[in-house]
Amino acid sequence: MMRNYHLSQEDLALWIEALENDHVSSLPDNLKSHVNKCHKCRNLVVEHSSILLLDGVMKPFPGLLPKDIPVTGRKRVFLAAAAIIILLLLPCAGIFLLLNMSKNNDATLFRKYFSPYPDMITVKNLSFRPDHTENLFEGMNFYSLGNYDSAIYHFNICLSHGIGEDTVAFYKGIASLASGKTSDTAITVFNSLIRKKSIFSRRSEWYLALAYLKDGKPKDAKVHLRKIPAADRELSAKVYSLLIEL
Amino acid sequence: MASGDRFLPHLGLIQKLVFKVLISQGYFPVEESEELVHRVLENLLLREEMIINSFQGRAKFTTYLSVIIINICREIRDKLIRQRQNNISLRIFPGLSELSYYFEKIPDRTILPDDSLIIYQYVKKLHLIFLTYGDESMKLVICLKAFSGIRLDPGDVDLVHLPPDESAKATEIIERINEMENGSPRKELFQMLSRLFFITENKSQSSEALRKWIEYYKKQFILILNGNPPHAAFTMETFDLLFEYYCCSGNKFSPFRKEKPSKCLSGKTT
Repeated sequence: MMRNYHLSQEDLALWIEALENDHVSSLPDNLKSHVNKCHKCRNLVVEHSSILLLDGVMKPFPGLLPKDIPVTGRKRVFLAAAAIIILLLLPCAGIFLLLNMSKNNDATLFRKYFSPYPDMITVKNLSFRPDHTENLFEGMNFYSLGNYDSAIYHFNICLSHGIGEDTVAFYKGIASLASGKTSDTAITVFNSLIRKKSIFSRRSEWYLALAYLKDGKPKDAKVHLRKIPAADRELSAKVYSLLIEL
Repeated sequence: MASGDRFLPHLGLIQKLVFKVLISQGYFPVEESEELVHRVLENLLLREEMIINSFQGRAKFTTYLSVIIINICREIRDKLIRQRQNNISLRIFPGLSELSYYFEKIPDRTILPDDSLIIYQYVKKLHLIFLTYGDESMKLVICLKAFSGIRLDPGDVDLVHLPPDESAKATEIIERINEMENGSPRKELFQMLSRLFFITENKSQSSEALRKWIEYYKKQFILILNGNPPHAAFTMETFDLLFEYYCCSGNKFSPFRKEKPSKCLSGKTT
């Protein structure tokens, strides 16, 4: 049993198991008495069991510090409760993430495809009634600068005086889409332009689709995209590409 | 079974023990852990026959293997220490001897949570040491409590198997020890304890013999706590402090306890 009058490795293992299970008294007498006499072997027992039991290599070790057990029990109950809550929350979190992801995807597509329609009024130098041309050009100036809120302000003045009508409304719709606010104004404007069958109706279909996309309504967006004829040279490529992505 | 197949399922255990014995103690950097695991595995393979033949099935194989792995790790550690000892001693560098002077100048400070964790670790180790003393541990705890001025509890002494009159006498001695002031002569305390053990063990032990007995055991405790190679530096005084913490740990020791042990000791007049 003893090698060189000291504890063998298996004797040490027996001691560790006895300490682990708190039954030192049931150890063979020769093992107990040897440790009582031999300081070196006691040191070995303590060193080995410190590594294995105190540092948590062997689990569980209920024999040590029984006062720890109630705390561990409470921890277990807490962990079980936490696990149940997490399990209940997981499906909700999954649905929330899915919805958010699809919204994020729509927003990404909107940013990818949206570009403000170029300023045709200043370029073509279209003539309007001279008394409010100042507001129109101010509005277009702000529109070109990307200052959409100010542009909408000037467009509203023009519209209240009956200037430009469809053209100004069209730019107002685009400005409100680009301003980062809700798409409600843009949707109303573009719908009215489509209903009127104005010269901007085809463009309005495109921007209306983008407005729905921005709102996270890809189905509505698709409906309007499909209304744009494939013969439209400028838009057909973009429409086709966006429909594929949707 | 092919050579080494017995040890492969225990690879996780080897990694854990290598980390505990060699890396977390600061002997080797963490980058060398993989190499150390290989060294341990190599040693296990070289000794495979001896390991298997020596195993008699009295203990669990995992525990037995853990002991062997720890011993291999200790061999690697001792080899490293021997190599380091061959290097130049730090003592030759000027100024290092003055370090102790600076350490003495560091003011006393309150115990921080990190310190408490270390104390808790040693409290657990002390508990482990007590367990190795089996039946003697009760006597040791009583003596150490009495010397440290910690209130004795009648539950500390096994009075169940005593006749009622003897049990009453023992309880009376315990109360008298508790009533003794901290400044009382030690000789009186030893005499009381000697009388107490005469009742509980039916064995005569002079107060002087008791004093020597407890001092011997305290030294043993300190040696084991400090370890070999030493990783702590307990002295008689710091051991008493640790023992106070140990006594406070009865059902209420928390590693984050803020008050000093003296506050959780009750009843003893100072």
